[in-house]
Amino acid sequence: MTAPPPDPSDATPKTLISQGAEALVYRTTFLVPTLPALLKHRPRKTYRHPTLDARLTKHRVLSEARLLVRARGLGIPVPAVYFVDEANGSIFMEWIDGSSVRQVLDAILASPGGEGKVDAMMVRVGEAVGRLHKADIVHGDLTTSNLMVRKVGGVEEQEGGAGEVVLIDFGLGQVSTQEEDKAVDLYVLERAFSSTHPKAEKLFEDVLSAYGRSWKGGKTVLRRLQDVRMRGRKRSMLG
Amino acid sequence: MTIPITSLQLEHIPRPHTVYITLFKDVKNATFLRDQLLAGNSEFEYAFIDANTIISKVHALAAAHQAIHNLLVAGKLRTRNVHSETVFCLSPNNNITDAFKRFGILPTTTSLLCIKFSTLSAPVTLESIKSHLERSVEGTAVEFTDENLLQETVVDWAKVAKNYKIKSDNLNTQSLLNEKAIGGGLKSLEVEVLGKLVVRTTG
Repeated sequence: MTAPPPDPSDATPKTLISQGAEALVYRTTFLVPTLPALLKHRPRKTYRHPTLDARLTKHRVLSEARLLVRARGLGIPVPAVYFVDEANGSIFMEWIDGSSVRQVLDAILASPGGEGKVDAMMVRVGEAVGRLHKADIVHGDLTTSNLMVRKVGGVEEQEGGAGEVVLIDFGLGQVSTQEEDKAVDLYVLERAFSSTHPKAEKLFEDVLSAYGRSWKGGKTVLRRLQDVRMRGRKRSMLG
Repeated sequence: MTIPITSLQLEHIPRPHTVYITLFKDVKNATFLRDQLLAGNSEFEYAFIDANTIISKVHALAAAHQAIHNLLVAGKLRTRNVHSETVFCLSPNNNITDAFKRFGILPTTTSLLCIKFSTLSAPVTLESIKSHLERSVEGTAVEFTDENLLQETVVDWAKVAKNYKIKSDNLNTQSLLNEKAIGGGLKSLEVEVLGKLVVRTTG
């Protein structure tokens, strides 16, 4: 399926970099050709009633933008929002130059003895998630692809690198004070780690210990994670 | 004397539009200009912005972009016209009077940023703006660049911090200048300010 551009009269060049069920993600520029930006556009779903479609899109765009703004205001590493067009279903945000944790792990773990080289990055992942949860924001789809590592001085993350870990894609995010929701976030991330690479499973322990240290409620969430592991992401609806 | 006017077209906005921008320092007739706005003199339909509150080109353009977007999407304009909307769009909150007090021209203003839109429904030419501004504004025109905004018209950092509720330790002028020197990309403070501008739209 070839997707129509968000606005036919829009002459600014953009390249599609990712496509999901909900949204198309483009790399483009904002205001001036020298400012790189990311455009997340939710195209119209023609199978829905137009009124319903407009309302759902507007709601989702605004809630995602609100979460990003809220997190950014609290100093949590997420992309800054530049512009929101809720009627059209698009969000322009800061372009994060770097690669996903998934790509970094794939590259580094491929070499023998690579585990030792990513310890520092694991700590930063744990701390970033900890800060998010401290602010009562739950990501909802925490995977290794939704964690970016910023390039430092134009260099990709490598041995002992110090690139900032940035949380992206708050499309399924919500505000929640419940330990259960936060534990499920960690559980989803754990599953993502173990499916990324067999060696990555051990590394997740570093993420969890950094998470536990990063905020006061961390320890209780980790205990709750044990329960979630036993039964899986979904709570039993029986009895 | 001919004054330098920057004309550009904003990204992601339909093409038949142009934004004309001029920066003035040592402005002496701010009271007169403000009175024209208050009297609704249509010849003076500009966004007159206190340049001390503007940290960079991108900062001003973000507000202009939001304003022209509001103009093109029916019913989104909250103020009288696209020019007043630009001043309003600089504000992180919904209070129009407050926005004009904080960002608009005041009798005490000496550094002035003038923005004029040419749109499909109200086209204007570069020449007409140029001659009109030359006649109307008593001040020295400088080119609209990041360097001039920082050095010629001077940024009031305390005001910026207050307007956008940014912690003042993020507001180190020297570090910003250093970042400029390193070049490339958007700087951390600009990113923060742009983030604050969308707070109002997301509610």
